[in-house]
Amino acid sequence: MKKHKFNNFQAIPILLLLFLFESAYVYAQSDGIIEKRDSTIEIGYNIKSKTVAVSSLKGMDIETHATDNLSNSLTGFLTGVSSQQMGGEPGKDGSLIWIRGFRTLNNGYGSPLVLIDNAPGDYTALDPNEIESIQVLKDAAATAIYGQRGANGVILVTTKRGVAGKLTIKLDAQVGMQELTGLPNFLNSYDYARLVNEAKYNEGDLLPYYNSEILDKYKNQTGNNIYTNPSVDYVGEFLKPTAPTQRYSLNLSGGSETVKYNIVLGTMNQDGFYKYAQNDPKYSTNASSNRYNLRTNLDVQISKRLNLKFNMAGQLIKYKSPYAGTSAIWGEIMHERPNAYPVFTPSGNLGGTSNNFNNPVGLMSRSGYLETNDRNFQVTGQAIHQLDFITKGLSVTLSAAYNGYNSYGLQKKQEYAVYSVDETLFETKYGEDKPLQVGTDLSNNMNYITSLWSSLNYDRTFGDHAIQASALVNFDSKSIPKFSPYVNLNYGATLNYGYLDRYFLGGSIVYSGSDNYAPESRFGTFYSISGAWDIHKESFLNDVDAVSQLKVRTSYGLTGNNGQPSDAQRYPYETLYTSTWPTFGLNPSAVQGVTESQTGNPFFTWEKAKQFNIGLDAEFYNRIYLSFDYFTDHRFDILANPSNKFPDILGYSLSYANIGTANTNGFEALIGVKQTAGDFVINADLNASFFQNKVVENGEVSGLYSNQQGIGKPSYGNWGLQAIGFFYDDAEIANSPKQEFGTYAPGDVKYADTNKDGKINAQDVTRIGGAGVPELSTAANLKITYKGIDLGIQIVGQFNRSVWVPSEFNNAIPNGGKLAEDANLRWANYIDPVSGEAIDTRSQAKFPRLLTTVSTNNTQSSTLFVRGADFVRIKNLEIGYTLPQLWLKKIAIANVRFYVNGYNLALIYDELKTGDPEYPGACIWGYGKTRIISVGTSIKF
Amino acid sequence: MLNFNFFFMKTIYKIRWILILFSIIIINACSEDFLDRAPTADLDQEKTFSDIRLAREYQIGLYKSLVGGFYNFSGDPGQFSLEFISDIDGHCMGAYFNTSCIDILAGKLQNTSGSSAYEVEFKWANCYKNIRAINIFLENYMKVPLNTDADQKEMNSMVGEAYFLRAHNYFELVKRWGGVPPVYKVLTVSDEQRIPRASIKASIDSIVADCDRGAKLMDTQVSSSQWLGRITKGAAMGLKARALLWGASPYWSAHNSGMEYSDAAKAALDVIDLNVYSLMPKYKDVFMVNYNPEVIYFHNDVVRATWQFMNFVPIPLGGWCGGNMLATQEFVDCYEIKDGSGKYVPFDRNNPDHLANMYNTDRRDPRFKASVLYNGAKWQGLTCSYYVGGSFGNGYTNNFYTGYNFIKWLDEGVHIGGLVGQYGSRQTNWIFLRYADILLMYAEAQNQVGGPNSSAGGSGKTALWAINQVRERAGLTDLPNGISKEDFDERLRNERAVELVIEDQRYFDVKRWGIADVIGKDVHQAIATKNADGTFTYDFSQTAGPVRFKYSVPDQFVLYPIPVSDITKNPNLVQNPGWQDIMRTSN
Repeated sequence: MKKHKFNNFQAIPILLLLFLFESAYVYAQSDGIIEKRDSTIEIGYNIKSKTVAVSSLKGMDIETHATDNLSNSLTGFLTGVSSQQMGGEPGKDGSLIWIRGFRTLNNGYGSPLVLIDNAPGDYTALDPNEIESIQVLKDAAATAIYGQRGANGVILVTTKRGVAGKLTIKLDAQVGMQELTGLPNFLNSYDYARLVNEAKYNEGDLLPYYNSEILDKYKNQTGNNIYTNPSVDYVGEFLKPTAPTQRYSLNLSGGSETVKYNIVLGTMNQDGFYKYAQNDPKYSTNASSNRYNLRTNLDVQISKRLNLKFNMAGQLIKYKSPYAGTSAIWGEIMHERPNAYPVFTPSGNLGGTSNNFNNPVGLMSRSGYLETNDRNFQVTGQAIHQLDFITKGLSVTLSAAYNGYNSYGLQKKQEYAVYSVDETLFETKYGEDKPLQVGTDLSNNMNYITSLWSSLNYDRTFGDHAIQASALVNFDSKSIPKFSPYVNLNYGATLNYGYLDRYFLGGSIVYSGSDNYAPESRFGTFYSISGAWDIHKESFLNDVDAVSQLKVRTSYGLTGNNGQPSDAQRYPYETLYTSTWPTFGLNPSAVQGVTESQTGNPFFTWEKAKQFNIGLDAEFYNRIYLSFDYFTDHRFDILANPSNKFPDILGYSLSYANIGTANTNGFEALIGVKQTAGDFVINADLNASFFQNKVVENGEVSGLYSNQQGIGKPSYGNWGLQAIGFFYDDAEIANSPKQEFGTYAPGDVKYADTNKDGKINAQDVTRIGGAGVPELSTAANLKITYKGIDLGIQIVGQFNRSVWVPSEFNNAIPNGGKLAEDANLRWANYIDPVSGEAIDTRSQAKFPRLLTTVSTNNTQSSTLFVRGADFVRIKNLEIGYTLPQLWLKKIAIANVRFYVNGYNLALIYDELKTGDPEYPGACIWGYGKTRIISVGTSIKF
Repeated sequence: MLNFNFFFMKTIYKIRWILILFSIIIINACSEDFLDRAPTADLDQEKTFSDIRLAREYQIGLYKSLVGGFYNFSGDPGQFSLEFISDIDGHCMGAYFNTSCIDILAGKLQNTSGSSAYEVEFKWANCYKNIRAINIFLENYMKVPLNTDADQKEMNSMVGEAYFLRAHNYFELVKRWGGVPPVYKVLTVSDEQRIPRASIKASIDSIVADCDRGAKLMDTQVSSSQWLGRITKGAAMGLKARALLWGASPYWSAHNSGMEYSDAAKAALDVIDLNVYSLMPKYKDVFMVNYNPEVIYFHNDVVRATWQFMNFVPIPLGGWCGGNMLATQEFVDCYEIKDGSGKYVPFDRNNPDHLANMYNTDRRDPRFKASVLYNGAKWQGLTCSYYVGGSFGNGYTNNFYTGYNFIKWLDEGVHIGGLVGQYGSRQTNWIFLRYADILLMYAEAQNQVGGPNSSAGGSGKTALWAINQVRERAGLTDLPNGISKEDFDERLRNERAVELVIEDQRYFDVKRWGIADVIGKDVHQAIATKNADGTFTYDFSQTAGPVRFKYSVPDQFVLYPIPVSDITKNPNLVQNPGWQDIMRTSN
């Protein structure tokens, strides 16, 4: 076993040999070398390449965004990135990010690797002013050096560094207002009660459940009726229309050739929408997030050859919420019947009933509160030593980083009483009002990541030949108390060769290991080869003025993904033992024995991807630029449940084995224009990213009907039936295949007989989607400046996507809930027992008939709940005005800009038309989505 | 040369700081065990088989594969015997009892997601899981360093026991499925798993081979009383006899097993001739006295709270039994009755004298009173009134609709009843094999070889001698000397039904005898009506319990379907006759 282990001390002589070999070789021909620089792309660890597919954005493009979470700012700017924002809770309103789509199997690990200044970390809590650039590495040529963690793409966040010169002070202040979006419109008690009557009628109760007298009381919300027969508008009653958010940051930058500095101090505060959050004047229980950011980036030129970079950054974040918790509060607001109880009783007590203490006033302001304090802290030290005395163009970089995370959560609970009100306004008390209890631990988590890396870089041109070569060793270790640390170690090398500055060849190879695998198979080799041809520099294009740039690129490589499904066990190669206690003896007693509890799978390994990319970068007339990339990603050795592969006679079962395969392909396209016309400067681009994923093998059982097979379909999304309408009458039921999900009647959901076996049951399910992942992500970015005025607009469109729409959007009666206005689109055919009105909506119904009990027929997972949710929205809009410099000179101010901007401003196209199409469940299962409008100023001294 | 050296030194000097830093990084990053996980207390196979203490723990763990019939169907103790789905011995009713039983009665053996899964899917998978664990031991025990003779002796026994346990688990499979895929090495995911089934003979031969290996390595007694419950030589020899008899039995010989009764008779006689085992003087004591000399192998169980047996005890007596685990009239009819001449003869319900003395314990086979509660029986001072209007009630819809409960495994001396928490408790070991069974096996096999008066190998121990040993202990009269081979076989089958009731034997006996279709036949109740004079009138016309499934193919009575999920994964597995290979699951 030992002999397979990487002998780590081999690395030192290898790298030293590299030094020596290079020095000897170059020393021999040290003259006649022309240094030539070209725009190259860094792919991390100071390694450069010219043949990679990378998209990037500049920090200054996003630093004034009204949204504070950086993950929200990637959308629309970066081709190859698709995203979904999952809610608007203060400090937790970020987006899920996929690079080149979802490329593995459904419960696989699809997240990209994120590095901040080449060290693992979480970028979402950084202040936008800290960001210099964000790069997204997409193809194998760029990600192969990340070894076992490269396959899902890599996000490289680079922070701002100082520039030599006099001190620049920049002050940014932004005050904004959040507004909830995508909430359902709920029916009042009167409309609710009438539809309950209808539901009861549908169940055979011909007498109205709510008689005309009660209905009148719901209608006339005056006098005692508001207590005895309330009609509560939960959204209006408990949620404020707007909530403030604000962000300030101070940026100091400058320095000399010897020492450069960039300091950012930032603070952010985001408040929640809870109307009742101040029961006790001493503290608020409103949801909120407060963040303080600090960063000092120093560059020290120790000697002509030795440069040190030193970063120190920290984030202090406090999240607050009522003790009852986000989902309980939103669940109550979005679910509770309008006639359940009055908010307050006549004497000002909280309304409720003997078994309903969920009055949101109580949940928000009298249940106590939760408070979580996160302390993140990152230190990075980096030394770059030019080794040009050995040979020109040679340098070595050493870097060490520490990233610590501590989180302490405190909970303080409180209890409160509710009162029911009867017809005579008599109040009955339930529960007790109690003072706030002593705080107890809610959570106490910590982890830290240490990372070390070193790269030896050689960058030199010999006549027509240019060489950029690097050797790399890097490792990082994430430690969580009580667990074994997560460790990764890579040894890599890259080589880029350019001939005549026209033809480029690139290659990288990396020997990459992690601790999760059997000792003899921890390491794997990953590689990429790539090439580019700068056609523009060919002589036949010399005279073509129209073409100012034209380059084709291609790459192919093998990358890895060692992320596991969340329920997969670590160290699955290990056979674990557990005690077992059979009984022996005259006086029987259990005797300890051992038995296998987990049988190791020595073949367990990482997921792999063979990735191909071909791309084109062009520019015409120095104005119009375009970029296009086509990619394929062949994933194999994906972890999937192998229980359908291994028979029981094997004697043990594995929860996961490397048996899955999936193929993804797609493209990214970008066309843009930069145009200056008089005082107008126009910058516009249109971009699109598309992917399509297909399962090739997922371990499913053989012999399924084709509709039941996951193979050949996208790996993500829900399974369900195709709802094809509602039974019009008994005749239609009689003439349709039998549905085996319990009883049904006219008005109930009719499903397609997908497998054509004449009956409709669980075998008719198919992939119906609903995962929220867009296949096509598009954006249009426009920026116009005219003199001091600037306008920026970003429109984002997502297509070929669907979402799960919770039943709260149409009929929550069977679950004891209320009705939203979509309930009016239900199937109905009856005579209203109160008004005598004949109602027949059969031909235009969008939802099944109303019922007060759960209909297993109608609640099957189906396309009734999974609905297309393509949308186009104005994601960001900003209008700014920069004061003329003339005015400012006198008061020693360099630059002042005022702006107003908005985030998630408006939907232009909405296929779903119910709730927020990006994630309609946000307000039901969590915290509603928000739109943010803010004003700000940016002052430079 | 000098020049180069100078250059080299100068270079080294110039980059000295970087070299130092670099070395620190490399050394940190690359120390030998950098990717090794932090030390844990966990065992691994290497460790386990490097030390006799750990190897012993592993071997002890193998005993978890020896699980008694009280754990049938659910894995929880105090559940149901397979007896209750056999033909006559018992009966259970109602979905509120173990639905696994009900599903098997209803023929739903192939319902992969159904509740019969425990007896079909789980049993299949679990036996192979056990076999794997045993194979690991048998492939690795030789690595354990043995320093003393005592270690060597212990290891011999442990290995022998492991061979036995493997044979036991294979026999559990063979009883249910016939010939099964032989897995005699530790398989990994990369090994060929599409192993075809072995023939019934090959499967039994492998079981016999393991028994022989085991018998050679084990002593007839455990090393000390603290290890009671471990397997001994006699168990291996006894299981061998049982397996050989299985293969020679009518169903399998009709299906070309090619196995001979003489081998089974010889193997059973070997156990008799060990002179280690003897019959307990009293039948009831076999079940009440643990570790008695009649028991050959058993599941040494912890002391159980009595509640774990409460499913046997009828509600009016303070137990929980309300309709499950009842005896049927057909079973009660199996108990012989003393005729006028003092001879025990088969009970005949149509004989008025027999009928009038149905519950006369002075005349019925004494094992009846020891095993069954009936109308008028006394239990812990209470009278069991199984009649219409009595505290137990009677009649088709009543909990005690058959008129009988089983008390064979219950100790009247332990106070069963009263309030929750006041139950007594007692240890009751499940008996897999006992000497009486060996005698009956020998009698059955030898009768087939040469008739009632023949004996194996000229031993003089005739088939008749063997069965009469059992009868005499029970308090019955001997079978007549001139009995024909056929009559002997019939009386022997009856003897097994009575002697071994609720020991999971009848359910499998009817399968190997090829009369398993009796499992589908109706059984009847004894509905008692109390007469004015205090006597009872019995009505036996009502069938008992849920309608029993009538399999369309006779083989379906005998053999379980191989779990279809395994057949789809292993196309070389041939399904048992009568069963189909359709499986579709929904997502």
